[in-house]
Amino acid sequence: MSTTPVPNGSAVGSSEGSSLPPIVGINFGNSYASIAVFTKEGVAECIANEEGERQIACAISFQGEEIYIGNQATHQLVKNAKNTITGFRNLLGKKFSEIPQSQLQSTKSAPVIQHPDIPDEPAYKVQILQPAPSPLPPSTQPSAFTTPAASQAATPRSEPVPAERILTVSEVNTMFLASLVESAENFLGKKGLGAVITVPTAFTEAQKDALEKAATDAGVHVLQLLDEAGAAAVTTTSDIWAAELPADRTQLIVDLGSSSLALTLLSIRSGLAFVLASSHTTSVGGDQIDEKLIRFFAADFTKKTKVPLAVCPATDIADQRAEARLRLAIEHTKRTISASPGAATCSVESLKDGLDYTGSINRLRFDLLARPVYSAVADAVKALLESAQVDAHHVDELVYVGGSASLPGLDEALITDAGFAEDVATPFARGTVVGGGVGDPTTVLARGCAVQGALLASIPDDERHREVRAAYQRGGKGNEVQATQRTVGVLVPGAEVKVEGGLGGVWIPVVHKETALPARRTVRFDVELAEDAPALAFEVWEVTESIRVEK
Amino acid sequence: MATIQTLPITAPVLPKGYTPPAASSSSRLSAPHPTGHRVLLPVGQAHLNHLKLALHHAHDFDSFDAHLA
Ligand SMILES: Nc1ncnc2c1ncn2[C@@H]1O[C@H](COP(=O)(O)OP(=O)(O)OP(=O)(O)O)[C@@H](O)[C@H]1O
Ligand SMILES: [Mg+2]
Repeated sequence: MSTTPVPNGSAVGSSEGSSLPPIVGINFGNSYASIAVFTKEGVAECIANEEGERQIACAISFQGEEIYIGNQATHQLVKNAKNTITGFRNLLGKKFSEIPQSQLQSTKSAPVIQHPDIPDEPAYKVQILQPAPSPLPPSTQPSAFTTPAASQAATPRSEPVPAERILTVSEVNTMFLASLVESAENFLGKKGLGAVITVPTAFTEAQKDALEKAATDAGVHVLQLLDEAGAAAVTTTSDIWAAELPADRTQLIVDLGSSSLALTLLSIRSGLAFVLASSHTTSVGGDQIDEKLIRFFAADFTKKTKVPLAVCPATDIADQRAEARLRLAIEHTKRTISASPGAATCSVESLKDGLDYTGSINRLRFDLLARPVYSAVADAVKALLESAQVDAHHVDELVYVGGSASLPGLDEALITDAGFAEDVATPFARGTVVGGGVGDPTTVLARGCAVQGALLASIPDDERHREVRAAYQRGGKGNEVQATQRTVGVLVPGAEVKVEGGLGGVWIPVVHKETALPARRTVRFDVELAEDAPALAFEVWEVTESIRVEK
Repeated sequence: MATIQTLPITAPVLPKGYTPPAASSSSRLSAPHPTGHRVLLPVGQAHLNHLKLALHHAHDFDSFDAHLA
């Protein structure tokens, strides 16, 4: 045996690793989080944590002396829900009295209670086992008394003692964020990372304060809290996403998570982005798809085994546990449906009465079940476009963000129901919605945050850039702009028949409406010249664009 | 330097006898949306350039180009 100890693996990054920016991008959702770092020069990628998860469940579970964080914690929801904490992000910065009664109790989390000592502070109470105090080491002091020598046999460690632990919402968020940052640190082999973290548009200033505090307490240096739409804009204006898309385009971001739908209509103009309109609702989300799917498989179980199973809602404890098991299992089913056109299975060991279950669902059937959710998304899109007075045909690109937006059926339903142009750009049409890939909706936000973090870290920390840096602080100035109301372009006259009410020739928009000023555009295009009289003429026009429907 | 957008367009031959239309002397570009009606998302390289153009180059593209060169 060798006498020199060989380290069992090392957390130090590769030599290339050391030149990568010490930045982590964090997509902090209410149900799932994801983290991105630079894996190569200029390439930000969503990375898996130590458990191999890229979508990390926002859950912390206390089980005896153990603490589970992430997807392992969600497994505790079957039998240990009262010591398992979920849904904590949305409670950040809220007073106890501000939380609706209906949110205090849930079968999917430990209850939210009033903190015993801090007024109007929400908290959680969990049962843990505290390690028993270790026995005192044998005294090394010489004793004046002749007592029998103490036994050298190890004193058996006493049993850990049950105890109650109270955690504030802030502490729970800090614990969770710390585990995310630790995964990124282990990956990069560096400590003291700067972070850009997503924040839902609906968060109040108090909630943003609370998020910033929870992150700072977790030991990260917060470079920027980024609106989810902003994080998406970073990714979708980067070269790997947009190389083939027009630099000036109107983009609709569809973020469908578990418990909410956020829509944002953006004007993207040569990389500069601003919001034209947005909406947010908590009445549409993946949770509703889950309910339908759980009921579907429960009915199938009953059909196959003749064992009754009433779920969503479940009343007795056996049914509640079966529902919790199905809820865990369908995460896999949904991901399979998104990833491949074939059927997807759902398997649960000992679903109820000790009986195992395996069932399957094909995409057609799945889309039928999910149809009401797809339709609700389409309705919300139509309402948003109407409020913004933007015709669906003027939307150039659909961007999908959030886990439930990975479903191809949603893209199909949306394009037909909301009336987008057939050739509207979508990551599904480009074929980039591949697990972990460029268009994967579950990676868009974290990658955007990492890219933004690296950009901010590149701004020199000197006096000349003081104002520039200040613009990125919360409430930063310099982002209010004037934007054009109409498109200005050139018309190259041609011999074609004039469309009624339109202009003859070829119209080339140059500065699109909704472009922030000052703006500069340089365009290049080919012209045909007559051999006998080579001449070029063009007219500069400002126009109101409209859509012609060809019948 | 400004990026040049190459458009997939071929403009047609100028029709014979083309005469440019007369623009009325009073025609002006429409006023933009007022300041503050639109708020830039503080993200991305283009935004950083926009800030530098405003704060360090008084909105002068040529001056910013010279700085980048
Ligand atoms: N590949 C996939 N196909 C279908 N659904 C998926 C896929 N991946 C994740 N989901 C679902 O997406 C949901 C989580 O989405 P996301 O992580 O965007 O939510 P969130 O941002 O945490 O929640 P919210 O925005 O609603 O507060 C879950 O319902 C999950 O089951
Ligand atoms: Mg979300």
